[in-house]
Amino acid sequence: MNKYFPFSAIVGQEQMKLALILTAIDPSIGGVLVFGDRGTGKSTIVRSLAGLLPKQNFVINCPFNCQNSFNLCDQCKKKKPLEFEERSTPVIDLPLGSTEDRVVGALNLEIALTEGRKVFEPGLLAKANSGFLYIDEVNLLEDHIVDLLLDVAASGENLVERDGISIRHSSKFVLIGSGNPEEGELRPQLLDRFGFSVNVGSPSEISQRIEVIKRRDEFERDPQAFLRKWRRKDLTVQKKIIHAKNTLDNIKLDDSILSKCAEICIAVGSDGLRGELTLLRALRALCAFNQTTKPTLEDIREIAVYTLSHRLRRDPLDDTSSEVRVKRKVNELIDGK
Amino acid sequence: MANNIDFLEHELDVNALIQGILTISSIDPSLGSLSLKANYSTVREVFLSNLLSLLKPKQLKKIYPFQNPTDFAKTINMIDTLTFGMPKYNEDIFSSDNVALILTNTEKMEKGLATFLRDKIKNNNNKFFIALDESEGNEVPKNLSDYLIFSINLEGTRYKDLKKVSINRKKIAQARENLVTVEVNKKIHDYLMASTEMFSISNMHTIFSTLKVAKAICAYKREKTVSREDINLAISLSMIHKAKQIPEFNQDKKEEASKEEQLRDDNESKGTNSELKSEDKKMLIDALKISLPGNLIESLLSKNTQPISFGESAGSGERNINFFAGRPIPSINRKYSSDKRIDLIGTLTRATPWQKIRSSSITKNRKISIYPQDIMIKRFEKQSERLLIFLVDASGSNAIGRLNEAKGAIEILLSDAYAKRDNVALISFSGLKADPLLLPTKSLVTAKKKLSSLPGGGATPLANGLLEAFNMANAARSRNIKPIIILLSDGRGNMSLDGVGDRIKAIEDTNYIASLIKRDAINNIFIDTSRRKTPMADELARELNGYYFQLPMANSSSISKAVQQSI
Repeated sequence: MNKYFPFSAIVGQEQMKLALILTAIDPSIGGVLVFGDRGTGKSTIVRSLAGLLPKQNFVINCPFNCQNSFNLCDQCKKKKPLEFEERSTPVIDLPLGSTEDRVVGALNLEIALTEGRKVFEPGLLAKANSGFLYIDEVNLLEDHIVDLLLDVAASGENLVERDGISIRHSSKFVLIGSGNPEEGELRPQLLDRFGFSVNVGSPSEISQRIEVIKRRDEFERDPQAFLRKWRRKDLTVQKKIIHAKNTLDNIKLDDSILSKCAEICIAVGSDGLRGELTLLRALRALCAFNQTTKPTLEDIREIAVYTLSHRLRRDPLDDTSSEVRVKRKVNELIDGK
Repeated sequence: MANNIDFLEHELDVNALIQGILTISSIDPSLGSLSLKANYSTVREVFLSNLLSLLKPKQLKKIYPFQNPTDFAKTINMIDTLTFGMPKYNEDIFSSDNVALILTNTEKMEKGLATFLRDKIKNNNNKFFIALDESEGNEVPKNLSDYLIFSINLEGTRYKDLKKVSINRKKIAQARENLVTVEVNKKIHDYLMASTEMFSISNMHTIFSTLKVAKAICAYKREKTVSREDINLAISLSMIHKAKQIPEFNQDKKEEASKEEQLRDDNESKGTNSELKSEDKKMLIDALKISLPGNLIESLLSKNTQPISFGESAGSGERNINFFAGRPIPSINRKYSSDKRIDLIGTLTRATPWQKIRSSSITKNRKISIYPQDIMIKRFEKQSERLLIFLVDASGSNAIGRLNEAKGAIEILLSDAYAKRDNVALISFSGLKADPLLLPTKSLVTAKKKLSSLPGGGATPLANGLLEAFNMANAARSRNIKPIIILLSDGRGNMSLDGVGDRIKAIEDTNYIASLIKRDAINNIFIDTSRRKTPMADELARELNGYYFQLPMANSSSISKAVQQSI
């Protein structure tokens, strides 16, 4: 009943919006980590995402969100013929106190008790397949749930061996995490899983703040009218996303861009090669979204910070902002030429 | 008549507050949440019953701090299901309307539950949340307290102060209709923003809910546009208690400053606010690293000579087996109670061998009969958490010599803490009082930031500092976190607990608090920063009965070299 606040009506927070759009275009970028104070609109933006994502084809009645015929779950393999329906991309919440049962799935108690059959009750990882998984306060998530997520995120597959059940289903999702940095840090392994890391703050200009309050007020007063008013803008963005998805493969990354990216990654000292890969994918998605054919140096400047700032090997106690360090290096390397 | 007060005109005492809050939350049902700070007392109970009698909820539910969010979802109710042989569900309390929820001991609430409830409060819809807060300080999880709209502190309220108030339901019903038409003009928006700036509130949710409160007040007054007065009332009802900064008045500041002046130690008064340059600091830390044994906290705590026994929970690798959260471990056959969760498979397995014997005439129509003694309870294992409370002497006497060295030592300890994923807190004391600079957190970067900007100077209220740390340690214990106090001081306190610069009384008070710490067997490490051991420090160390350790003099030649280079 509660419709979410429309994406386009959100004032400011352009970085976070762009990061979400790019991951929607290319899920292999690997998700978005958002850090910021309470009440800066983190969760509002994530919730609004649902209204923006393009619809996808899913097998009818498949609890694991099966999509294509070569990677089907055990149930769908038996279905003949496969019937598809168009559904919106799922955005699933993983609440902080979730038990392992809820996350990976468990025995369906109702059926076990009433019918005496062993049936698997899919968990959040199944629901989030081919969609988004949102974890609020991700830095407070319990360690054993983090371990689980890391495992599934790496393999793209959820393997359940428990309660006498043995099941395997695909679970590919875009991870979105948000949190307040003052309450704790994230484990480096999990940090590395995120494609982008973005910092958000409250709008600093009074006029912007007033606009936020005004729009919220308008929304609460008459949600229907407000949604109608912003629907067209949301649809425009959605169309751009769909268009970008289709043209993603046409984007050419020439060697000069590749070497520039590698140079930047070496200069900032990012761990592993995931930094380069993410940067390249993000560049491609950005070009597709902007409907250009080739990334420019300015494109790199725009997104390098978000793809690299959380990948620096750093002293846990070093408090100089890694964002600033990356920005400086990127500017040096781009302008130096 | 007792109930003739009107919160719009009356001074905002407890009675007017309760009337106002209930009126406003009845007009706009999304605003029904209240933080109630009070210890368990008759006053609180009477207050609550008054409140509930006005609220008239259809249902009343208590939520305890260690419950799991899944308890509130529409889940299978194991006991009923097994008793009746068919699926029975727990009712989802959050889907019904007109419910009052009492959150008990909010200060002890687990973060997961707090986040869950926060989302419910953010999208509140005709429910009234009352968060009972029995903490000494400010320990309610911030991610919850930031979203509670109203706040009442019952401290100092006496039984006879409480009056029965009534709310004008007719006027409320009218106001509900008018609420949609209430207008807010630009001037009021600007005014509201200026006020939020003044209280440094950045949470847009707080700002917006304050506006909603103002609109409800306006509708109640049957006016068309929100006035400044409405905003002012709304601010005092729903914003002030969240203020990060209360605008100070110059006069008070001056007074405090002059007071402090008097109390300064004669010679040692020069505040060493000057920070060392970062390079010098690094050199200093390196020097200290050599002179401090590695893995200090561990090694200090594992010393056999340690007079206090740490009970069953020594070290951080300690595992704590419980029934609610953590890594699952094999279940156990125990009596069921609502705080435990049933392992269904285990229970069924246990019951299976008995089915033939049990299939007597009474249970003929049941598919399976399970007796209470079959019930297996799920168990979980959690690493017990630790909290390192750094208590730093920032007084003039300490600052002049070794505050920076102490800071360096703490940085080394912090990197220890990082490896163990400990919580840290930072309290400093100087001048008139002890100041909790950083409430328990896992964010070491924040700890370091706070530490490096810590100025020195002023008198030494050591007793106050210890008391603050003692309270924090006890609060942590109540949350099942193991506290360790790490005191860095020269042990020369010269301020008594009540803020008088009296050396003799100061020592008495300090030793008294130290004996409390000893009594409660709180682990502590006293790192003496004085150049040589003084009798005062010696006595304090004995009272604390923890581990005493003298901060080695950092290699003075390397320090002087650093200073020379910086010139």
